[in-house]
Amino acid sequence: MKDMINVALPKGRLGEKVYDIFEKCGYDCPSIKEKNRKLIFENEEKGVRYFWVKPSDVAIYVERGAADIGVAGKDILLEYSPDVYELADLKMGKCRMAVAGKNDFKDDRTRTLKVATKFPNIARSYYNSISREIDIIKLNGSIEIAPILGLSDVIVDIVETGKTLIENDLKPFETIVPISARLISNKVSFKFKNAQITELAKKIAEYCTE
Amino acid sequence: MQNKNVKLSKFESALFDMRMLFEQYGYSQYKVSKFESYDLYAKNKAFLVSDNVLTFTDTTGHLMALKPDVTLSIVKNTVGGNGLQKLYYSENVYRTRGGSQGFKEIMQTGLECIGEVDLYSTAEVLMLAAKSLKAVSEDYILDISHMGFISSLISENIPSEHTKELLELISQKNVAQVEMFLTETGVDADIKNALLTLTSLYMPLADALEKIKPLILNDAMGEAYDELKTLNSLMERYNIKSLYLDFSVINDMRYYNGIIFSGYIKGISDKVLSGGRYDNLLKRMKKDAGAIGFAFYLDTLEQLVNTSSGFGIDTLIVYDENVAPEVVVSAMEMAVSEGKTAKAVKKIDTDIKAKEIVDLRGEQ
Repeated sequence: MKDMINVALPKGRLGEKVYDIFEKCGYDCPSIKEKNRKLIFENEEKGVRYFWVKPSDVAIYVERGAADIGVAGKDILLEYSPDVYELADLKMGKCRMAVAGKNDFKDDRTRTLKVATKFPNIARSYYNSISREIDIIKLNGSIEIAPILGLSDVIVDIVETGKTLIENDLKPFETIVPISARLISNKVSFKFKNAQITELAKKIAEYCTE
Repeated sequence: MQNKNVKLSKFESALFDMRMLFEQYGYSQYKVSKFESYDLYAKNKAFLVSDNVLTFTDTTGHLMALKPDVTLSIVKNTVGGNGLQKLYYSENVYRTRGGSQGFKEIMQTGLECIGEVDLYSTAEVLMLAAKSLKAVSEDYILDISHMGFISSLISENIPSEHTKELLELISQKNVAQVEMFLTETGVDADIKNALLTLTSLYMPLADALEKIKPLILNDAMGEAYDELKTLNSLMERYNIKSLYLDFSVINDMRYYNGIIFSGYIKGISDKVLSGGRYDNLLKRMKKDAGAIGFAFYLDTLEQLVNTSSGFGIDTLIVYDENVAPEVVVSAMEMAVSEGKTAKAVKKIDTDIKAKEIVDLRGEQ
């Protein structure tokens, strides 16, 4: 019997688009489109088993081997640096990690900069690289409100269109790193299911560069 | 008395098999103390798997550490120069594992070969690593890589401040980003091509040798290639097959030079074995010798599904206040002398699965 490949997909709009790519590359699983409460979907013939998990958890499922492969944003990979292989850039879910602040913000280098973010590790390593002393304020959502209320000087967050920022009189100053969705693989699964995973990664990478 | 009914756990039997194996090939056991001066680790932090060390002050006020690693202690205590020392150990080490922040006690066994390391002893260590994995499961893979092949390619062409980033990308097999990185750094096309091929390469050693032969660009790579080739033919002689060439197996260039390898077992999502040639560590410690060795992380075997028979015990002996203790003694001793496992209880516990139940109650 052929080994099944377990695929962790991020719940939500991005995940649905990702599934479409898998489908077009020949890894379809019709039952996934049915409206029900099932969590796991498999197509034995194609040798794939899909499941939806919280986007920020995909890397954990893959790192621990509960999923052989998965799709996660580069932001998550940079923040948690999981021990996985990064096999392909899906070139979708594109956005950037940026520093933003109030329109009239001016960096005063004589003071410690207060940074509100969901991504403390990315923020820390960015400011370390430019030798800026900072105070990190870890928030879990609605980051944009922090500089408005004076909780922080700037925010480090994902910027897609910048619309939310503009509506709140904020603007992005610097791009830290561009972000897109990546195909990742568990290191051990990559070895034991090598032929299948390599083939899948190749198909996906080819589809995405077209 | 050999009791066949007591099943050794996977952990115990693997440890037993490995020790047998190491002794058979002339390795002698080396005991190290649980504590070590913290200085040793402070100087060689990058050699450790995780840089968290559990420390305490001893009665004289010295900062001590619970060993996070055995190799450093062994190397510290060896005197180089006289032939080849072959040692093995099985010790508990204390460090953090994976993403969790807590310290863990990790049972580790391994061997070290210190002195004039030649091709034969390299092959022997590699073979013992493969056989250690085999002692646990037939479904194993040993990935091998050669620092000489990749480090000379990198150090000659990439500015040293960028090597760390590049090595990290290679260890993630991130072909797309390695390509971007090399375009930005502006290296020659043949070097770029070689590095990209090495990043994505993953195949059985024998086939991979064909593939990397055209990539040789300097003497160091040629030597590394020859060593891999000889090792491949020696492994065939040992009848070891599950050997893969994978340059994503990378270790710190400051400590490792020749071959490095890591072992995996189907069903375990962590690396179970890790090793390599680390002459550079000895050089840093001012010892004139070569060294190669590996460590096997026995705690990872917990992840294997236990295939026990389902019976916890052979005989359950049930008694109550009315049964004389002498009767219980003789019933127990009879069962034990027959080589069974037995347990005397006052109440039948539904949690215990026994093959037979001897009820002494109501026999008076």
